Amino acid sequence: MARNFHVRRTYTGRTIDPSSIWKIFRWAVIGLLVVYAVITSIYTIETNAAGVVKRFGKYNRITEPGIHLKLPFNIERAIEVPVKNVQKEEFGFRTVKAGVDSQYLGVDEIQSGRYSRESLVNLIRESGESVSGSTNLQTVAKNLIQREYIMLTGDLNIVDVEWIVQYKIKNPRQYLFNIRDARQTIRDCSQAVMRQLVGNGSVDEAITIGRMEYEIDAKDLLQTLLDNYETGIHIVTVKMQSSNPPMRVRPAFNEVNKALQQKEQRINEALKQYNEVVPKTRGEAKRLIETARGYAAERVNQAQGDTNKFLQVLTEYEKAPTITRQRLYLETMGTVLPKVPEKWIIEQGGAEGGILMKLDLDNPQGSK
Amino acid sequence: MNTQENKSGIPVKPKKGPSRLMIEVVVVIAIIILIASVYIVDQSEQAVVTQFGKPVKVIINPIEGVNAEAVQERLKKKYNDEGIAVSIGAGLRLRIPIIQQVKKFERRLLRWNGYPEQIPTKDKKYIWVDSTARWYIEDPLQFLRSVGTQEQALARLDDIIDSSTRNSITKRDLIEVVRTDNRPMRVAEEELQETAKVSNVDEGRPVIVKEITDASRKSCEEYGIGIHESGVLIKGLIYVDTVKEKVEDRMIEERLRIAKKYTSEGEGEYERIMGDKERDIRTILSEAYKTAREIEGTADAQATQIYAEAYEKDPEFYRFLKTLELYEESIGGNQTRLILGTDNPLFELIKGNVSMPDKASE
Repeated sequence: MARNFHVRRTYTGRTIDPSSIWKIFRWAVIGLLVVYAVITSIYTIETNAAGVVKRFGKYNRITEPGIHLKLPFNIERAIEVPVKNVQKEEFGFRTVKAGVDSQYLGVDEIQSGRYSRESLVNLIRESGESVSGSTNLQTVAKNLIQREYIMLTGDLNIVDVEWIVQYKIKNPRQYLFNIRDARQTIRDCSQAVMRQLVGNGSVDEAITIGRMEYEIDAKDLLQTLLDNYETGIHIVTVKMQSSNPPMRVRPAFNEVNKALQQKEQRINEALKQYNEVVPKTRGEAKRLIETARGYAAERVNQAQGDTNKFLQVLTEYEKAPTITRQRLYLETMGTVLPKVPEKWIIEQGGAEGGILMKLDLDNPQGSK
Repeated sequence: MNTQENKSGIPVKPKKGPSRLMIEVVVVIAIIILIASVYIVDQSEQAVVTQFGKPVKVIINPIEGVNAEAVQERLKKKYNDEGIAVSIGAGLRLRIPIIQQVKKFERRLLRWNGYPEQIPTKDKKYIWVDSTARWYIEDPLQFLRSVGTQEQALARLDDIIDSSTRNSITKRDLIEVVRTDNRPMRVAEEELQETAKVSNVDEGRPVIVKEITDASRKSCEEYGIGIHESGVLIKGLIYVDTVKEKVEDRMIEERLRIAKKYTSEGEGEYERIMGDKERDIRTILSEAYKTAREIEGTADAQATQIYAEAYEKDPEFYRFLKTLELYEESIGGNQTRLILGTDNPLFELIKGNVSMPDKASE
């Protein structure tokens, strides 16, 4: 055996038995297989995901996050589905860059040239259209976005609605095996549902008063539809970002708001003036009445005072009428006469100019 | 041939029969044959097995919620005469290598997305209608025979759904396509109520969409294509540009009319409140005046009564007192000059005694 025909001498002088090459090869194969088997029988599932295991392509089981074993050699395959991630779809605009200074891509941006070529291409590709060198990116992208947000309302008006849908995967099995393009399905359904809702209401409902209901109804309808398709998608929320009348009509809508404010302002102005004057007038009226009441009290009191005095005097007078009369008369004269600066006494029935005397009050003594 | 390998290196006796290498070769070949004779139908797939081009087996894999057995029974009955087997489900399956070929098809819901179509409604309003649909391969064999590929299928669906859509929409008024039911529409301002009045719908969008779906489903049957029963959706519905412009003009007009109304209402309210103000001021003041006069009158009357009652007791004395009072009040002052007759009672005494003229002035 030492001198085998197959024995070769290497330049270094070592001999290699061909059967040992075969042996090494075989062990290498077995070793590789073992390594491959080990590698293919271990898999990990991230915390935000669930694992779906297929055995020979057939659904077998769902596994939780963590490290797991499966049958090797791709007899079993594990697919990781991010079930806890909330994903977002935007309608009528796109967020190009999220963050503190988010960048959006909408019709305004496209028209004013504030966009990157790349974002337009992405937008078009995501919508399932192809992009070639001759494609007018601006027009195509603008049309795509416009088609999303322009809607007819139930009163046959037009309204621009931008909204978002947040969703996550609630059933990874359905999500993987029942629907091929879940994302586009959500987009299609969401648009159909929003149009149905907006189409059944007035333009005012879409713009202001009905938004909340629309969001709730859209979520329910969308969920029902996706459940019908058994997509395994859970709608977290539907939010209307902005809903406006068409660009051309907006000034007219603002005009209404302005007029409404003006009306309020005018009314307030009038009320202010009213309130400035009327309460004051009420006070004045009170004053008039109270003054009258005062007058009344005064009048009656005076009367009572006067009469009481009279009656008291009368009582005494009646006891001695003559003397009282004289006294009163003289007393009065006593107070009256000194006040008169010039007094003339005329002899009654005498000759003309029969003046008896003049009480001289120029005399300082008399004036005292 | 002898083989000498051994883990310990000690020579072993040559084996009889096939050598180990032979076995290994056979095993490898066997594995290759085995691999060639099995195939995997994925959970998301279905398949048709053909033998020299002739179909021999259909493997269906209906989506959840569909009664798989019922589908199998139906297809079995259909393909029984041709001697084609029908079986359900994904997994590992066997075939004759080389001779039998496996063609796989999607089992999942697929998307068809139509191009927006310009369609006139019965009331001659031109709109763009953009529809989409969820479809699936219901019968893989028929699908293979009639359309073959998904691209082909999409082209068929273009024709089928577009024409169903067109048929259903052109025979109805626009409002039927737009609205769902006759729910009263709410408006932000009372004044807009008029604009929200539209004619009632008889059917509404869901009914029309159902009609389109049903018609499309029927047309798809022959291709082995299924459309989900709520599969067709109208995802876009907008006016063509010329109509859009007119509608916008109308909206502008409506709103401006309302704005004018508000402005004039504001002025009106202003004037009304100003009127209220004037009215209230005058009413309040005059009422107060009236009340004041009444109070005064009552008091005057009361006073008069009090005086009358008291003075009635001795009118003559009252007159006397009052006269004296009057003297006191009216006589005096710088310009007064009093001329007294000697017959005045005051001078009764004077007549008798003229020597005391100063007495009166004290």
